[in-house]
Amino acid sequence: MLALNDIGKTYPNGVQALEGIGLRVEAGEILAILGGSGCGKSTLLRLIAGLDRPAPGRVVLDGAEVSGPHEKIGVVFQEPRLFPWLTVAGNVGFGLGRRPAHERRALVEEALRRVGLVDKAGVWPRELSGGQAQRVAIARALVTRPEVLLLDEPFSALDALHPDRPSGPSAACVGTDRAATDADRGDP
Amino acid sequence: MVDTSLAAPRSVVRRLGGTGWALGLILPLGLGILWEAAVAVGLNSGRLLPPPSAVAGTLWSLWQGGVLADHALATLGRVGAGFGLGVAAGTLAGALTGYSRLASRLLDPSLQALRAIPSIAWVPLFILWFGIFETSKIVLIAVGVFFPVYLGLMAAIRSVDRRIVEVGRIYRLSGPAMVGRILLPAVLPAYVTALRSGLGLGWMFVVAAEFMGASEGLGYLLIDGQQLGKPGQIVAAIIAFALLGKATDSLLGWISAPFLRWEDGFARHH
Ligand SMILES: Nc1ncnc2c1ncn2[C@@H]1O[C@H](COP(=O)(O)OP(=O)(O)OP(=O)(O)O)[C@@H](O)[C@H]1O
Ligand SMILES: [Mg+2]
Repeated sequence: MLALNDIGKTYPNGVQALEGIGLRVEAGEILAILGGSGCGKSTLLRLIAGLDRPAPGRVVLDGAEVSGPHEKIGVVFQEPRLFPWLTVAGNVGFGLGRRPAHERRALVEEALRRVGLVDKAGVWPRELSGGQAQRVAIARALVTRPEVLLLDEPFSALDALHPDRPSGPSAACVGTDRAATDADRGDP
Repeated sequence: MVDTSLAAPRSVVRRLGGTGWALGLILPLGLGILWEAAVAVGLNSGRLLPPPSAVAGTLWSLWQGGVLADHALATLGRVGAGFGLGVAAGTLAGALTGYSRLASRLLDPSLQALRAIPSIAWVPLFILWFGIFETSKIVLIAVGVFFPVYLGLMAAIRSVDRRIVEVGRIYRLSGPAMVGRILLPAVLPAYVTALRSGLGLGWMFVVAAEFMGASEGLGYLLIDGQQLGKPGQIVAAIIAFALLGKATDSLLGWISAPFLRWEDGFARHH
């Protein structure tokens, strides 16, 4: 269970991005956070991801405070943020650390299959379309099987996965089994 | 769906690109032939600037006696030693100041002050400290190589995209893993560029170092040619410098190319 109580965030330049936010996400639940551009969605996800510390307030995951990046929390940023010097497969396998090579290869292939990009495994990020790059970023987050998956503005990529489906928060559940998913989207 | 109106100019550009190197030869070849002809018909004695055939003859006789190879190797050895020393020091200092704010506050002001000194101004001091033989020459070359490597690496580390570093943080990379898996590949293109400009300065400074007094080396051939009035030897040494400089630079580019295949810069598309 992920819980935020009354958290805020003020950037060093004085911008108060968040104030008095509380929320609670149970296992298996999907939460979409909607709001206009600049309202603080990315900031909120950064706090949950442990990249920034909230002040005031705490982010609590399964009873323990999140004080930094956490192995149970996976993140897909608003931009793909792929490593340009790694191939698609290298990017997806980035977080698999010290696992044996054959295991890593199998996991990467499975993750790429889920986002429909197995055939792109060997290409450089510069050879991908914007939506493909975002799907690689999703695969990179899925491959470590995080319990909490944070998706920042994922809908363009998810639309690319399921062009026939109307876009909406429901699309955010793609590819997560037991993951609680925080998804958000900006103003259309 | 090729739009022919767009495809046409592009193919022209490509055709020009294919023969571009040949176009570049027209000017030097033409001037060489003109000069050769001028000397041949007696418009000029060619004593101060020998015609290409005479320069080629000098190069050939220097090469045949093994003299050119000996001098070139001596110079190459000095550049190699000075480059190695300068790169090692520049990499260490650049990595420290780029990575650590404290190291930067501590070291950078002094290094910037030293950089303001024209490096040739060190020559008298280096001769007093290290003597007139190899050490002072190598140190001078190393000083020349140091600054571009130091500045290039420091700036490259500082400008690594914070957003990419955050991905590393998400995967909880340790300090060394962050350096090895993210910072190193991210700074590599700029580092290679810094190495290449360092190498260029190394070749520049080896001439100054050999002017300090040397009994062998291409710089010695220059001085010797001047004192004995042999302009052919001077031009031959200059050509040898150009060839060696270009060859070593290409070697660096060739060694680094496999690591930079991922690059998506302006150069790739032009
Ligand atoms: N690093 C930062 N330093 C200072 N202010 C920031 C920083 N990042 C974001 N802000 C400010 O915080 C506010 C919230 O930004 P945030 O990126 O969270 O918005 P968002 O809801 O994700 O917007 P969008 O939908 O456009 O992505 C904005 O006013 C922004 O200017
Ligand atoms: Mg945002």
